[in-house]
Amino acid sequence: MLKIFSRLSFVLGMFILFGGLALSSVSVATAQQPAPNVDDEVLRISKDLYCPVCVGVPLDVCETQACVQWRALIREKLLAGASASEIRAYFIAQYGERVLGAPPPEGFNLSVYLLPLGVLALGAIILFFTARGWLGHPAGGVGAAPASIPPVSAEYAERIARELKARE
Amino acid sequence: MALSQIAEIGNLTLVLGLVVSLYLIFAAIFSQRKQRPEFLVSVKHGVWVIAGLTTLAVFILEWALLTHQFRFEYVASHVSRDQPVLYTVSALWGGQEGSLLFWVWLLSLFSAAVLIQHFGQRNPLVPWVIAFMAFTQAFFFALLVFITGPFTLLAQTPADGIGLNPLLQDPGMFIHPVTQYLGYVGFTVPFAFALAALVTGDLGYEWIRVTRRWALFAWLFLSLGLLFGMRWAYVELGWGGYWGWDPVENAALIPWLTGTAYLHSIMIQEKRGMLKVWNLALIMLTFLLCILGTFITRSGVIQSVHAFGVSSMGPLFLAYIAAALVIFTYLMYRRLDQLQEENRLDSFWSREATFLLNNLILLGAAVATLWGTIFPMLSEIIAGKQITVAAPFFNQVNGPIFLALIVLMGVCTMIGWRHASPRHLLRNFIPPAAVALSAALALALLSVRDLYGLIAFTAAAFVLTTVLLEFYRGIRARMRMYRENILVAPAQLVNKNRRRYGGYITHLGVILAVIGIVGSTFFQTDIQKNIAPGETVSLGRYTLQFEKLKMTQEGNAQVIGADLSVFENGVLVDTLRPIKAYYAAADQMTTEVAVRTTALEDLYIILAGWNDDGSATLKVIINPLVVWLWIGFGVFVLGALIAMLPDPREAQAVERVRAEKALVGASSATAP
Amino acid sequence: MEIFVILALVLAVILIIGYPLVNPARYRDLIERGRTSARYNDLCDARENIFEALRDLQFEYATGKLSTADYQQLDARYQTQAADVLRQIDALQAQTQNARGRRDCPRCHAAASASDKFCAQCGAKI
Repeated sequence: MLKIFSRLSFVLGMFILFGGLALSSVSVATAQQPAPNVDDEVLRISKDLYCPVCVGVPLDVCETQACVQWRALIREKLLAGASASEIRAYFIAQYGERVLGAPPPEGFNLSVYLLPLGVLALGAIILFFTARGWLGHPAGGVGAAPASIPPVSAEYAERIARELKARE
Repeated sequence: MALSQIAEIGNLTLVLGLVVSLYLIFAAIFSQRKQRPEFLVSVKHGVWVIAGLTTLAVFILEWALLTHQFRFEYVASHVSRDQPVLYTVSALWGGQEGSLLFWVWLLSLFSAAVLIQHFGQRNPLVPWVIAFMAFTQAFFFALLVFITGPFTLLAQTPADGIGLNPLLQDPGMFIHPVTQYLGYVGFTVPFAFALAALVTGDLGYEWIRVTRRWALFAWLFLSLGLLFGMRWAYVELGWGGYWGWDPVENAALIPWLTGTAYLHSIMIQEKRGMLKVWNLALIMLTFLLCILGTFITRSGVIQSVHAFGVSSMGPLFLAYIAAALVIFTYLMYRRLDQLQEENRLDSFWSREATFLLNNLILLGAAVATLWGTIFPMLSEIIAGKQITVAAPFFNQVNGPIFLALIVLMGVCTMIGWRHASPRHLLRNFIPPAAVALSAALALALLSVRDLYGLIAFTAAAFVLTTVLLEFYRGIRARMRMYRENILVAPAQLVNKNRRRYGGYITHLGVILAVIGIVGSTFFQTDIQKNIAPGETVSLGRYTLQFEKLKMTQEGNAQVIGADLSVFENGVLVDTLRPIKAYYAAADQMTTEVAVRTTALEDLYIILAGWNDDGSATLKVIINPLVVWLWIGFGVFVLGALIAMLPDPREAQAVERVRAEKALVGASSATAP
Repeated sequence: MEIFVILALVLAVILIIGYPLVNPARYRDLIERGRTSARYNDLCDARENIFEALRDLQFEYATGKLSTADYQQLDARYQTQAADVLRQIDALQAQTQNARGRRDCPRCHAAASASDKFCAQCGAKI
């Protein structure tokens, strides 16, 4: 009985010791949290990383085996005292840029950012000049003098008013 | 009748469909070129025959699905015995072969609808419309006959089928593909009319007037497709959001963007006789993007959650798209001299100008989305590098574009057609700007610190005010002009201007949705924690107490759920049960989240995992304002429906013109 | 058994589609009728559009989007255009209907065909 008790207290002691160590290592990263929580930190980091198998699925929600392992790896590294940016750098070094949600803007990747911008800019320029071309007729424009418009004869004015009313 | 014979008949309907479609192309063109009306009547009969054949094919496949004829390969791979009837029915559009059959079925029904609408009026566009629709039908029949037949039989009958992908066994996924396809297929009609207008040279706004409602119908269903897809993702995928910029989501969004641009720019052609070439190009783009969307969804060319395995359809789809593109562009080039602008822009300060800008921005968003979607493929081919283009990219690039679009929505509302005096514009600008600024100030005081969120909310407040002001001014004007009282005026305002105020109501819906999107994007908070029974996890005002894990068998799934008591500010308000379901037949796990919705926020809980000791890992998310996204969609649909209602004034105008044309036409026929 | 069903289906399709081709004379009038000059179509469309524009203009002025000066100027311009189109339509109608002895509605002067019993515009008895 006593033996069992002492063994239990040993286990408990070890648990408190290691648990405390683990907690203190995490609490450096998340100082404002009163109850540090590795799960939460894993979530935080895996949100910014992307699943290698499923296109466009962030690591924190992916259920594939690879992602479960990656999350376990993040947890391990966190417990070993690695910081969020270190873990991120590790994944990029290990698996390449595809772990990032948006490609870093360099080399060929630049075109993914620049093409939409270029299309918008080019479209704006074309639009501006086309519209200005459409605008260029002073006689018909609103800026023209009112006197240039001949008055409508009374007969037609009456008919227009009538047809307008019929369209109400 | 033996099963093999039924399968034979199924195949026969498809072969006959292909043959008749090819005949229709020939007969419709022949009837016009050689003035042979009997061929036109034959075409009419042919359209009905195809509608009958596809209906028969759909009927046979549904019968096979519902009666579990597992010798059909399609049935064996999409139905299992323990699958609920609802998802046995929806298995028709749950797989590649079935959904292509579904596509061609809808198309054949739409062809018949076009005939019912127009044949009696002897619209000269209709034969060409039918010819093109038959061309499209022939393409899909060819896919079904030569590439991927739904009536293929297995050598032996399996005892049970694999069943529909459990992820798709959700009411949202029952309805989402139907609406999405109604949208995709629906855009065939306006495109076919545009093509017919180019062939006949009847390039006024007749084709636009005739197809405006079809375009609106297709666009509304594309919107509903997006809505149901988002709702499904929100409750069934369990990652806390509704939009992941997944390739298939993008494939549905891109034609919606160009379709939205089209619906705006045709107003300029209707009102001013401008932008003729542009509108033709836009409807072509929208239609081809719909075809591309079908292809991306159904071929799995870009790997994603919707993928159905790579098939050999790629080259055929590309060939079809290229053919449609070449034919249309050639016809447009040939008619270029007839497509001159009839009017000019009166002023930069006009609604026309804001519509041009709106088109530019929508197209920009479409290009950015399309480019981002196909870029990983290009990067691998060109740079030999695997990269991911996901939510962070699209948020970065599309975020500002959409913000500009929202602000423009407000500006556009304030500016009248043709010309706005800057002084009046300024006067109209002050109240919404004041409201927007005070909203920003109030939010800042309420310690909303996210800059992007703050900007987006300010923009939303600005647009909301302009739209509400528009209603206020319209009601006041009606009360003054027609001496209507405060109860009649609002109803008459909308009733007498269904398109305009239906449009404004749609904008109202968009703004409500934007508020939901901004709230849940920029102000989401979450926590993940492993807790034992009896322990709690807290987030915001909420404390969740984990009671116990409970395992049950529900239908064809083994279900494990975590019973939770929800305390809000210490008061018990609800009990929730997030679930994981395991489908043994498909060896797949699905998530069903538990959501507590209030006007201010959604409490969204996912059972992320559990352990043998009875503890569970919970992921708790607070999604502020997300309910307004769904409410906004409801308002949006209401507005679109109002804009689609028959317009008495339009009907009168058509009737008047028709009466006069008959008069003049009859006499001109006698006097050459 | 199977072959009969298939034959019946194929035959039915051929019969339904081929039937109109048997007696083409019946459909002679289908294409000939209902042709109007493109110019007339364009004029009608233009007329409807100008009236819609005028209506828009009134409403936008009433909701305070236009200054009085701008409104009067635009209104005058569209009135002129409307009168112009109406004049052209009248001319075209007069030209093509001279031979037939055209009738006008006694109340609103809208054109009416010889077979009309009531005016399509205002509903007055002719």
